[in-house]
Amino acid sequence: MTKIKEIKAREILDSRGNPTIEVKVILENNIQAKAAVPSGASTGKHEALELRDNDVRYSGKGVLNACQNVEKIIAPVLIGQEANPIEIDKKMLALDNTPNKSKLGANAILGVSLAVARVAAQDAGQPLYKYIRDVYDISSSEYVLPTPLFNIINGGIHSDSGLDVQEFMVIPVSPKTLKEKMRVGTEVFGTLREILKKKGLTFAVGDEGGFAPKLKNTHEAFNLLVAVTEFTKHTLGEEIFFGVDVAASVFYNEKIKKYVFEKKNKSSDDMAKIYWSWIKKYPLLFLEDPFAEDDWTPWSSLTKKVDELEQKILVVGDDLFTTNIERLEKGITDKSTNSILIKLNQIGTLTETMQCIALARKNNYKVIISHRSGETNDTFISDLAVAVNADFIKAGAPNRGERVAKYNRLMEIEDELFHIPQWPERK
Amino acid sequence: MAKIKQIFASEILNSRGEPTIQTKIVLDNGLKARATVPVGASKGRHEAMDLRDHDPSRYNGQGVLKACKNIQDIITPVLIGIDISEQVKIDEILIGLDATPNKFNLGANALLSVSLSCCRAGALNSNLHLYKYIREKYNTGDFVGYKLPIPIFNMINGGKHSDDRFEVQEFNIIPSNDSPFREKFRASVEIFYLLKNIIKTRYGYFATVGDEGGFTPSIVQNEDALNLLNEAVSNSSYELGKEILFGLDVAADGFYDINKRKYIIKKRENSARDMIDLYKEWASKYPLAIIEDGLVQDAWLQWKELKEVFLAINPDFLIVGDNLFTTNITLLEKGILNDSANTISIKANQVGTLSETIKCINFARRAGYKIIISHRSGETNDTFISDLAVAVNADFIKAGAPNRGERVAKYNRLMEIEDELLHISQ
Repeated sequence: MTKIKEIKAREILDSRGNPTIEVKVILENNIQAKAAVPSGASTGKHEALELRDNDVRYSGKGVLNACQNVEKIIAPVLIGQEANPIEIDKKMLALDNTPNKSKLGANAILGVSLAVARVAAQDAGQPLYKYIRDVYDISSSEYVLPTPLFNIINGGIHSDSGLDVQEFMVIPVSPKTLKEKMRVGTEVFGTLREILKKKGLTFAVGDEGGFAPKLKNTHEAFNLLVAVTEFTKHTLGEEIFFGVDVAASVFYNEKIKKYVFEKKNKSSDDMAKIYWSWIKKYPLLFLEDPFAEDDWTPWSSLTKKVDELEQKILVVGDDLFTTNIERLEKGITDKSTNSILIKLNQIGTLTETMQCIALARKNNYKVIISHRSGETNDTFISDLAVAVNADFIKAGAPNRGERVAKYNRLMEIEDELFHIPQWPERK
Repeated sequence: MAKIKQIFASEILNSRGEPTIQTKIVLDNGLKARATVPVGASKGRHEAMDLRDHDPSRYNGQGVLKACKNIQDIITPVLIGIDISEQVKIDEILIGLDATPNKFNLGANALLSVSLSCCRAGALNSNLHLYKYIREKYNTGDFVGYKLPIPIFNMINGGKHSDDRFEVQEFNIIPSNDSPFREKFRASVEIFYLLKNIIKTRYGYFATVGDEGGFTPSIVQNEDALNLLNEAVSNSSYELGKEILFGLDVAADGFYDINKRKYIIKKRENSARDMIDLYKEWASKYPLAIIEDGLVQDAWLQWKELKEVFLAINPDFLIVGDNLFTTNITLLEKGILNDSANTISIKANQVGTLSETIKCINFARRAGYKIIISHRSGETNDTFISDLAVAVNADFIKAGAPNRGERVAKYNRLMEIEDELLHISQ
């Protein structure tokens, strides 16, 4: 392994125009790599801390302090060390020594963590996904590409559309190759654009590339998805399924312990009934954050009921777990969910993320690797998803450069791994 | 000397979810480089052809497998073994292989992706930054030193880029104070935040963005957009009219009725003269400094009138031809002859190779034109245009709002170049 010669950090802008960190690591043999970190808008309470300057620049969102932490505090300790992601992450954790990375900032630490992994992969002459698999000792010898979850209608705080549910997703499950899944997703997206145009609804997009038309309620959004799928002649419940990210913490009122959903106060039982009605009515495959992040009790009963169904439905914890191994352990004990959403910047290092994935896998959880609403064009998560044979990847609609980048990288990996012909002979 | 060993073309998706081409070049010394190409929605009639499959069973006919196949089967066999440092020769071969004025045979998208990826591979092989390599390859003595372009930020999207509720396609702000690029960029971001807040408060649900990252508020009048910009800048710490100026890309072809020969605004028919009066009125109320495609393409003499009217008001005013010129040297000559404009918008994919693009830039420069290097509405995350802008000391760059990864990538790259050139510390 080659030693680290130099670490640089700079402030760049993310896809929302907010500052974020890009870290460059240079090895002694002059091999170099960069990584940039994303930022969430709907952040779980238990996430690691994202360090912001809070001064006059960029409405306080500057990251110059975090960049300084990389160059002045982290770099001196890491320069001269071998670029081994596990050892480097360990050193940074010791250096920060807080439970939520509040000293150096999870954005500073993650930038270094990812850039080190990437430069080490290059040094080893391996594609990133293969390198991650080797370093973290993932036993599987097969590669299975994740199925994309396309967030094509944005609600919640990502868009101000008037919908309480944050994301409505279409999931193309039937095509065998990722390329064909991409095609189906893209065609559905394009058709939705045309339908919105015809209805006189806006077809401008939200932070994750999905549309954000003003709709009355959840049913209207589902019905729109049904109409689109029928129009594209794909079979609902066979070729295409739906998914939702409820992001229920956002509309949970902690004082009265009620969910303020579609302008009415609802108990967790009421919410469970609502979800059940969706499951009955629509081909729902994926239900994320149906309850608030600290309202543990209703999760278990919903998951139990769902697991009794013949059709597998994923109950997914995102804000619930925040990629945090202690919270996942509680979830496993309580049988709170059957799936976990993984976001690198919720926890702050690649190694901790891998530990969390390993624990989830050991307990037969489905694993979903996810982007954030404020993204960069970095495609690390695509390689991560392939490295761990993630079941799904969430990278937004097939729209906006920072989202499409993840999917383009996956198509590239598919080419490398399976030599899928670029232009299959068509009949 | 390094030679081209392999070329791979593949279909990827652009920022709108449309297929586009990525070309990867492998040299015989193992170095690799890639480039991807953009696509426009509002196209000039004289643009080089963007080759599409028209196979309705894939991507609504928008696939680019034919163009990829052209690269693989027709271009690659000819380019293998060519010295990568011969950028001009490579482009000549590409132009010769196609042998049509508008790249009808092989597709401008196919040619451009090969042209740009070769250039990037050449830079890598010379161990030069891309902007320096381009400068070196095409240096004609026109450029002295490096200066970064002034960014033109498209903050509000109308016309074809949104949903045609108001006619003008782009409402831009231009940070015109004498500050480093990164400070101009920050100004745009801070104004963008303020604009977002105003739009959210006033129009409720619609703080969403169009293809180029600008907002698409539910307004119907062009003036409403100008008022929104006015308000956002006034709320900021930047001085309107001094530090921040406005620019319009009218894209007048988008609302021109060819049969009636009229510009249709809210069902009202306007002559070219009416349009010039309208722009004059706007310029009296707002700090307007740029009008792009203010009249329909081919209306050479009316453009001249537009230019005369505005230069009489402000000698620094920029009358920009985009659809008018489509980065085409023959059209540019016509424009110079007719005194139709004083600025050209340069888009490499309007013409199809890097060499032709730079030829057009040099030609414009010598005629005293200002140069704007421009993105397209369907972009990729490729940042070639940032390096191109620096290489030719372009006066301006247009790369959308400070929003959406494919737009921000261009500005992030310019900040990086600024760091390299000036060692500006953060």
